[in-house]
Amino acid sequence: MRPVKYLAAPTWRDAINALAKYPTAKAIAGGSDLLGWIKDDITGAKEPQWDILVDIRTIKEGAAIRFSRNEGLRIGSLATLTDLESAKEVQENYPLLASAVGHPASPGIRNVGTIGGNINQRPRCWYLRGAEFDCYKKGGDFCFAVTGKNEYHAILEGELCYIVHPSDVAPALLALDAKAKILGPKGEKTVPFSEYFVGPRVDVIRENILQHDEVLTEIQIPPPVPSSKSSFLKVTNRGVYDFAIVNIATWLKLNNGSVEDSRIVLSGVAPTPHRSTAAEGVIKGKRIDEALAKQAADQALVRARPMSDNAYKVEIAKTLIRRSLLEAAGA
Amino acid sequence: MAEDQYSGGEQPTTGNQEVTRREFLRQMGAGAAAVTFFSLGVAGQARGPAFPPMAEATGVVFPDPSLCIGCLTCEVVCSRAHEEVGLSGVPRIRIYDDPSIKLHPEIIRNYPDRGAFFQEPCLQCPEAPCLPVCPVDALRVEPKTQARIIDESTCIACGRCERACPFTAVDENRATNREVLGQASRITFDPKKNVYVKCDLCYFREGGPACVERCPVNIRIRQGIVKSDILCLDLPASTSEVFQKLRQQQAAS
Repeated sequence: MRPVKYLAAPTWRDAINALAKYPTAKAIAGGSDLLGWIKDDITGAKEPQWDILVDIRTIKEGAAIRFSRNEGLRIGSLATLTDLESAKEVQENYPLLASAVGHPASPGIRNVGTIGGNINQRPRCWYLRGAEFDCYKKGGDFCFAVTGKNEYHAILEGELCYIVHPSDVAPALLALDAKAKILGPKGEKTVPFSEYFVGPRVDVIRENILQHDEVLTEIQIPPPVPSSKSSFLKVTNRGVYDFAIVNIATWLKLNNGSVEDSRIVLSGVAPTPHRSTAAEGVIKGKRIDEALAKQAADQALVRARPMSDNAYKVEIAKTLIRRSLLEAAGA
Repeated sequence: MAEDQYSGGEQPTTGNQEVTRREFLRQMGAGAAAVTFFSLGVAGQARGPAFPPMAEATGVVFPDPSLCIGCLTCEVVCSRAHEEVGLSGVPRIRIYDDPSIKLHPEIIRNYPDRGAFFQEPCLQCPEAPCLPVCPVDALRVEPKTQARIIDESTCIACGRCERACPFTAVDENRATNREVLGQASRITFDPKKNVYVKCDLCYFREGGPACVERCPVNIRIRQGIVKSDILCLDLPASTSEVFQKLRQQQAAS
C-alpha cells in the first residue's frame, strides 16, 4: 500500500475543514472498505489517489446511540454495526435494523465497520475494483459489465453503469423511513434516505448525494410504529462473510391483518437501494397470503432487464420478496 | 454567445450557411423563381408553410433495434455530453421497451432474458419542418454538421418546433427508464432550462455524436467481439434514401 498522511479530526467540523482543504483527503472510520480501495490502487480521471486519511473515529459522541419514544432513534454514524446489533433499544424497537446490521461481512469486520461506512461503501463491481478497467465510475468511458461478465450486476434501473448497491443496512433504513443528517461547509441538513442515494444518470461518479467535503453524521429513525411488522432476508453465495446477491428489507403496517402501509426495499439489484412501489401497490389494503405474495413478487420484477449472466437474480429477488412478505406478515 | 456556441469546430460561422426564417422570407420575396422552386415539391413532406432549401445533415443517428440491449448508455451519454458544454441535459435519443422487435441472433444468445427495445432519435429531416416555424430563429442549420439545432440561448420555449415535428414519441410509460419527460415528438421541453431540445449531432464534439461513439454494442462490434455487419447506432450520411428508410422504421413504432 502506498504511504498516506494521517490526520486525526477531534470534531466533525475539523473533519470537513480537512476534506475541504485537501482534494485527495478521505474520511476514514473502520476503513474496511477504504483501505482495500487504496490497496487495490483504484484511480482514474475522476477518482484521485486518496493520500490523506482524515480519521473521524476520534470524534467524541460520533458513535452515540440515543432512543426516545417521541423522537425515535438517533444513531451517530460512527456507531459500529456490532454496537447497533447489541444495543437493547435497537433490538427491542427496531428488529428490522437489528437484523440488517448483523448481516454484513464477519463479526470481526462488524466490530470495526461503522453504520456510516456501510451506507457509504463503494460498490463491489469487479471492473470498478479492478485497477486496469477505466470505467465510468472512475471517469472513464465504458461500462465493461454491459458486454462483459455481469453475474452480480444490476437487473433493475441500470443505465450507463450497472453496479448494484452493496449495503445491507441501506434497505433497512429506507424501509424504516430514516433520514440522514449531513454536515458540510454550508452547515447541516437532513435528507430522507429516499433522496440520499443517486443513480448513474444523476451522477455516475458517486452513489449518494454526499459531496467531497460533506460527511454523514447521524442517522435518524422515526419512533417505532405500533402494529408494524418487518423482515430482513439476504441471499449470498457463501454462507457467511459475503455481499448480498439480493437482500430485502420489508416493513408492513397492518390493520386488522390487512396491509395499511408498506415499504419494500431491495439491495443488490439496482445501482441504488430499490424501493419496490410496484410490490407495495399489489399488497395495499389486502391480507397477505401465499398467492398475494407471489403476485407482488412478480409485479416487482416486471421491469427487470437482466444482463447476459444474471437472469438468475430475477428469480432470487422474486423468491425473497415472497418469503419476506410472508415472514413479515406472519402468514 | 449564441454565435460562439455553435461555431464549434474549425470552420468559422458564416451567416449565409444558416437558413434563418428571415432569410427564408427574403428568399420568398425573391420572385417567381422561388415560388416555382417550392411548388415543384422540393419541400417533400410539406406541412404548413413551404420549406426553405437546406443542406442535408452530414449524418443522422440511425438505430438498428435488433442490436439494442436497452443499456441506456446512449441516453445518459447524450445528457452528459451536452451538460459538459453547458447545454440542456435532456436526452436527445430515447429508448422504449418494445417486445415486438426481432432481435439479432447474437443478442438473443447473449441476452436471452433482457427484452427488446426501440430507439427514437431525431431524423435530421432533409427539409426539417421544425425550422421555419420558429418565431425567433432559434432553430438553425449548424454550419459544420448541417445538423438541425436549437440555439438554447435564443429559444423562447414557445413549443412550435415540438408541434411541427412529424415524428411522434411513443407512450412514455414504455420508456425503458420510465422517466416521464412529457415528450410528444422528437423535440423535448426542458423545464429546468425552459428551452426545447433536439438532437444536434453533438456538433461541438470531436468524436461526433456521443451516443454513436459510446454505444457498448457498437464498441464490441468494432472490436469484433460481437459479430455483426451492422451497428446498433450507425451514423450514415443523411441522404434522402437514408431518410426514407429511417422514416419507415420510425413510423412503424
